[in-house]
Amino acid sequence: MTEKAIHVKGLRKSYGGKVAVDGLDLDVAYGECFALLGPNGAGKTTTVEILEGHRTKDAGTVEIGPRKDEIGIVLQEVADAADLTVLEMVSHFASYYPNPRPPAEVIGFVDLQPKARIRTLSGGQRRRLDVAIGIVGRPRLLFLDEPTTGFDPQARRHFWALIKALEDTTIVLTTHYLEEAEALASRVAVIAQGRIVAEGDPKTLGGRATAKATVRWDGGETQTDDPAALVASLGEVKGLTVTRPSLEDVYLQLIGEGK
Amino acid sequence: MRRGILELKLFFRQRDAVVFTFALPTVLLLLLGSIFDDEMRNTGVTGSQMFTASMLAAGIASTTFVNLGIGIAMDRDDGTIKRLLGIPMPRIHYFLGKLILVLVVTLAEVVIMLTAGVLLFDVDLPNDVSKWATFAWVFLLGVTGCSLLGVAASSLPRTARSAPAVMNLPYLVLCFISGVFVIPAKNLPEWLVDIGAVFPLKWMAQGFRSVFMPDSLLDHEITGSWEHGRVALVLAAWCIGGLVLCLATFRWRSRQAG
Repeated sequence: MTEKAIHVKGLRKSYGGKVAVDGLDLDVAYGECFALLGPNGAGKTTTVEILEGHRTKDAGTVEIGPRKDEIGIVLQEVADAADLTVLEMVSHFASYYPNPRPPAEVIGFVDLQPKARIRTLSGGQRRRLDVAIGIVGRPRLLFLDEPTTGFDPQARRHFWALIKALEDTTIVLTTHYLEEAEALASRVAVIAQGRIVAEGDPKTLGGRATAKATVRWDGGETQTDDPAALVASLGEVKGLTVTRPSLEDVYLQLIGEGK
Repeated sequence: MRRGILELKLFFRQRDAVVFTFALPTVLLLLLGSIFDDEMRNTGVTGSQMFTASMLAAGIASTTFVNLGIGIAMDRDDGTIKRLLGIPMPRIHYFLGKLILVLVVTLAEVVIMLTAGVLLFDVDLPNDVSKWATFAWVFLLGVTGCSLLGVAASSLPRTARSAPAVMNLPYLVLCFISGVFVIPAKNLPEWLVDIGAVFPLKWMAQGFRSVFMPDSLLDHEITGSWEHGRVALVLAAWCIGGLVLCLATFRWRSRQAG
């Protein structure tokens, strides 16, 4: 077995009798971008916070490969240090790592003004600052917990481009946005009710690639294994579309099954 | 040290907080000090002078106990602590940062209040080394004890928003029953004095009165003595007790987090 960045087996956590994580298994290999996808309250954040060391577990095995100074964490909803400048904040956190990236370089990478007061940043800028702090220590493993919640579409695209540029870093991402998992992750696990209900390449998740395609046109609709042949046989029709089940369809079906 | 400089930057850039931290005890000193204007019977000391010495202790309790309690509750709420726990920083550095902040702010507070006392109420600063030595040990023990209590009390407020209310009420009550606001403390009912005597503020105030007031004021002290031995004993006990409380109750995470 090759060495894993993360190995989790039988993880359990409940809060006062309410089960949040219910026997969860997952493995993350070095170099991959792994997304934990699920609706609010599915146990994503609890799981990631246990991996980050912010929460205790009730039962199960958690093995994290990298050392603490090789891990970067981008937290959900932090609002600290409003009166520092971006450069002061990033430099401060850089100072705790053995081999940090130059703060100015990281700030340029996330496209912020070094002298800006943190108080004056927008929500999206604030999250980019969190990413800057997360990556300034040159982490081998980076945790991103719902990084784009509340972003407008443009800010989200911008953010994705940023994360895609972190090629050498192993990333664990939680999100409830399907497009985000599809855009960033090489592997997705769908979590519902504290369990992994499906896992795989986002393109083939839930048998999506092999499912029948739906061909629709004005006046008709058919499911087929060979849409090209069908479309050719139709000749000239209006309003022609060919669709496979979207990740969303698969996803809704999966989390529905979890209930 | 890095953490300390950062804490200082964070504190001093929040201008309204800076102004009010220093202003609250100083304004109380000015307002109440002007009321206690009369000379205390047969002492050659005015009420406002005596009040200045006591209020110094209350000012220190404010910059240590109240500020640390609120500050740590806020750090727990806004993610400061959470972020720090995620980086390879020894946890003690967080407290060292707070310690540097508390020392700088408290020393500044003492200078401001003494200046106000000297200029407005003609408080005489002692020119006797032994009095300043007394000041130094009362200051150190008082700051240590009140800071540790503040750290322990930071776990009481449920959220950062409730923290100022939760911290200020016990503080003001303590000021009252420790004989800071009531001059002389002899005028307090005995049972209140007994409760006040449990806490460090009364002893810190008494210690500072012994530094800045002449012995002619001893008549107005409850036992007729400065009781240096007991001041040292109670303050030291609170340093140890505060540390034990911190170790037993300190939480890095807010109550909701498991």
